[in-house]
Amino acid sequence: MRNYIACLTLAAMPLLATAQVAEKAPAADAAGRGTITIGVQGTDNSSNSSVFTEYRDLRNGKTPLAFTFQKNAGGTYFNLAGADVTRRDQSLGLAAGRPGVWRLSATWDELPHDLSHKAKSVLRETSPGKLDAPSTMAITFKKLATGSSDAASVVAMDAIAAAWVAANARAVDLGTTSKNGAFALSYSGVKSMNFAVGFTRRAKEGSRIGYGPMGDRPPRTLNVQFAEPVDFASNDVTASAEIVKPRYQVRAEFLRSQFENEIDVLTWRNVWASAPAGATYDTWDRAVSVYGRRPLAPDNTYQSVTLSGGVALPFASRLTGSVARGTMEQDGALLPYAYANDVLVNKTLPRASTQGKIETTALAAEYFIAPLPLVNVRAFARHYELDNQTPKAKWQYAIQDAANTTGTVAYVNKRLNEPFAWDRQNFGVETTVRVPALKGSLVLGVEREDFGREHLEAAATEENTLRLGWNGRPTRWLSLRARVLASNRDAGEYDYKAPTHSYWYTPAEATDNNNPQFAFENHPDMRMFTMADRARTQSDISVTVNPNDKLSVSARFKSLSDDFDSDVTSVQPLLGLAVADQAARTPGNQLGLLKRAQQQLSLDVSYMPNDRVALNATLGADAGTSDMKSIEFNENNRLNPSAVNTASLGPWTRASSQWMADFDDRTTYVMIGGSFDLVPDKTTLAASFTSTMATMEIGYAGFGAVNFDGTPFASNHEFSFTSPAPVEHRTQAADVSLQTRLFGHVKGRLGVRLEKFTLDDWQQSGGTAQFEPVGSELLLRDTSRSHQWGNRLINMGSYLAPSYNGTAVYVGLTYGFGGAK
Amino acid sequence: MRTAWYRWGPVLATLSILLTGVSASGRAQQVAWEKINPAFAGAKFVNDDKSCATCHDAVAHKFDGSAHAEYFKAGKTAVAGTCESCHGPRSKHVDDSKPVAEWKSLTKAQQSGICMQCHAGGSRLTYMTGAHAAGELSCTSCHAAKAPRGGGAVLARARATESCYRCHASTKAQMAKTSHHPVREGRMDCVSCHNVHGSNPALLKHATLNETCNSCHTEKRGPFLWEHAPVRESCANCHSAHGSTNRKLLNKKDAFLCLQCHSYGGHINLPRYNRTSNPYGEGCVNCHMTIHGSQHPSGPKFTR
Repeated sequence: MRNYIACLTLAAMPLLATAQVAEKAPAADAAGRGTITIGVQGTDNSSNSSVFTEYRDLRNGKTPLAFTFQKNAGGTYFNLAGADVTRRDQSLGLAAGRPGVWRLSATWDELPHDLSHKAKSVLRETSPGKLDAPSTMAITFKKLATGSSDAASVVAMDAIAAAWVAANARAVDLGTTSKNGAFALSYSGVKSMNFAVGFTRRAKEGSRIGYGPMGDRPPRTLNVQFAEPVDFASNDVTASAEIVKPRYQVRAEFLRSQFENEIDVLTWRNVWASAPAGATYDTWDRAVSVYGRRPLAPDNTYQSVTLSGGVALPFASRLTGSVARGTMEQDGALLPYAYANDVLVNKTLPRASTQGKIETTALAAEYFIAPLPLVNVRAFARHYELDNQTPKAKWQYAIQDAANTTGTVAYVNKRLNEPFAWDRQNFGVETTVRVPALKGSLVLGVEREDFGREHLEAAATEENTLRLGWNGRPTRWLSLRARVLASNRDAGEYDYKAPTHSYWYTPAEATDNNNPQFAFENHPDMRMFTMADRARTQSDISVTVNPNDKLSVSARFKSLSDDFDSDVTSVQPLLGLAVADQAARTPGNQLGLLKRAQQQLSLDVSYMPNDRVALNATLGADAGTSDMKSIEFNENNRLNPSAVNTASLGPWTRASSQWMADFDDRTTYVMIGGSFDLVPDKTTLAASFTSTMATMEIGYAGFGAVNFDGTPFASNHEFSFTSPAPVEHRTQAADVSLQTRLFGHVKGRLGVRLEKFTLDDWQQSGGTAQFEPVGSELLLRDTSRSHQWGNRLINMGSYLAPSYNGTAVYVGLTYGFGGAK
Repeated sequence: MRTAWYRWGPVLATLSILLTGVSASGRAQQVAWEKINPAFAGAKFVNDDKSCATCHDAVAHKFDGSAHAEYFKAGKTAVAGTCESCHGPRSKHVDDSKPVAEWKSLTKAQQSGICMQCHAGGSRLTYMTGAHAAGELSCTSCHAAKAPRGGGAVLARARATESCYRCHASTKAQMAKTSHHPVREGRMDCVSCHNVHGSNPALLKHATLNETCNSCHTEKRGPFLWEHAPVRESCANCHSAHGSTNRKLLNKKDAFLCLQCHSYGGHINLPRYNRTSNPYGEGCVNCHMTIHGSQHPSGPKFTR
């Protein structure tokens, strides 16, 4: 939809982004002074893209009032400000107080987050949390394994589905609005003491992108994308008290935060539910529910108490410390295992509610001393512990509201809910030595981190870090800063069998060759990068040149690289099991994230030749690369990998089933701006231009591009994947605004903003080599056209937030009263 | 389900009424000036701002409209005079106009120590032992006591982000990426998440990244019946809070993000496995949508 400019208007966004409530008290002004701004705005959004209005409420017509008001009487000040009042991005603020005695503030901010203006959904919310469709589609063909003779039936069924989607899809609003109110009161009228209380409420409502998978895991999963309703809020209460003395300070803080969701449960219709007479069904060994159901974010509570203090010690030293204790709790009632719970043989839950509880403890101490005139030393020690006290229990879950027709579920569905917990200790010392001869300071620091985890592959990791830096100002006009860091993390013994402890089925129940509890769950060669060995190097160099007071030029280069090489070797995970393949070996090549690196380069120039002109420019580049590897194998042949040695979906032992992907993510940006006092104290012109270009490429090779024997896969093969087209994001924005005093206390404002956003992303497009639209972008299927149901995805449309050309123009008048400028 | 949060209103209103009008002047404590700079030894406070303005008229004029000026008028000074509260006793300078113990001659720690006469509490309690102080930054690296242009924080620049970007330019570049927090729109800034005066890791407002993120994203706080371990450990395992080319601030393109850690077999191990959901839209999250933790008894795989 195009919105044409009604009349000349000024882009108000940079001027009225938020209501800035000044805390400072103006000169005694009992009558008060302030400003009122009114205006007219027009916008043009070529594709009605939500990116243009992502965090802004831009629309044609009169702009809402913006105002400021300040009053100071008898030493007590009162400030009021508002911007974009009555819009979805409005902000209001109030501040009052008596300097050094008390201060009261209240703010109200609203923030839109538009996700799409073009989304369409076949499901609509008929009551809070209930998504329904006016009808369901009549399935004429349903078969688990299809052959070439079934092709016509598959295509015919897809045509029926496409027609149904076209007839039932309706436009839906996709996006949220956050409404945040805060109140704070502080009092410092008692000598050396400060008290404060505060209340904050954050509410969010609207909708976000949600999904409704149905059926017992791929290949039987059906899925539909819909607008998931959002309606929740959190209320925070804070209180603090502190004593501030010259030699010591003590502070106590309390926080209680309560999150409440107005919608506890989301229920959605299975639109694939009908089967007309004469439909071709093979043996359908799953009972799939008419509705899907899942809980939304549960109500939760968080409380924390923090005690902190600082004391000045001899030899110009200082010690600070803090102790904090927090508790997160959530005890929501649990839904049954499945929507159609009665069909299940095992219906009984181990308990009726979550009983979720996590306690956190944070201890920190820092010490600073300047033992010698040219030396200072900083030392720190921190401990953080997250203790998960949620009780563990034996669950036997149903997958996605489906079960076997006998009401049973797979043995692998017997799982324990592991209460993941962790703790971390950090110790470090940093010394700064001033070197007057070189007009700089040398910094040397060492740090150690010990990280412990429960129920995970790496129970304890240790990391040692060395830092070296130089800060110098060799001349009055030149500043240099350089830092290097090297760290080495040792993950110790990586227990790839750790996840197997979360199963509770007996060996006799494992009636196939999957059996993750007694074999392995994740491939043994996988190393999760959060728990893998890591060698890190980082460098940071910046140079600033200030030849005079008018010009400043800064250049910076930052580099970071991580190598997660963990000396993975081949292992035999089945040794000791009574299986024929017990000697089977993994390939011994590390899987997962292997390396990553980031380089950032920027150049900043700031030039102010006189009081009336200010110019600035920033140029930069950001490049991120990473490498990862994985392997494809048939999880149903963990215990007998040799049985699938010649199959595409083959054994976990086969190196030629591995694939590699390397990522190259580059962003370059240019930002140029300037302000010009055309007529001093009367007319100001401001202009800026920003351009950001981002490209993300994936280089994919190995299994997927080719079969295990090197034979290329056809693009419509179920496993085929090749290097996709580069993802490109391009943004350009130009702003020009003119402000001038017209007469008396009236100023005029005129502004124009031009924006262009271009997006090219294979993952958001309606069709690629891997998936294709059926009838429209709202129904996609895998290009293999296999009728395994996971191939069909009813979605809300491709490129939900597409490219656009946008314009916003604003004309406004500001009236200053009471002497306000 | 709704909490009667409005019940707190009358309590807070009563508190404010009780406190309104109570006035007490509390002077901050004095600095040991001769320890900061031996040039101050023997100097006395002149306690006459007009004598400062005689030579420093332009600066005095600029200072007059600042927040500090208003606080000093209300009697909240470190010492009797206003200029000398920050610049120290100036009797020797009045007698001999040669510059002595200039502000720029002080070390950064000394400059900060002077500000701490009055500003030692609150979020600044750990400033002197934190990373910014260790990095040779003083209060006046970001704040301009005489000519504030920021909202309420006496900043040297109009917004906090402009001060931060002077050194943290790489973050400015990340903020320009498509997926971003609303910082460049002016609805958030660096201090929304960071306590720049603090000493927490990465100068975050809270002890950990998760506590900081969950202070706004409370729906992800949990705890959940089924926890996703990397989520409970750190949001940064999957997200880049400063900005990303990938949707929802993710570190990597969907499916590939999950494939960094998961290799169970079958459809999990490939970016495409005979279903549209792997390569399209949100990848694995197309089905595994409760990825931050599940509350459902059938949620161990985060599909419920």
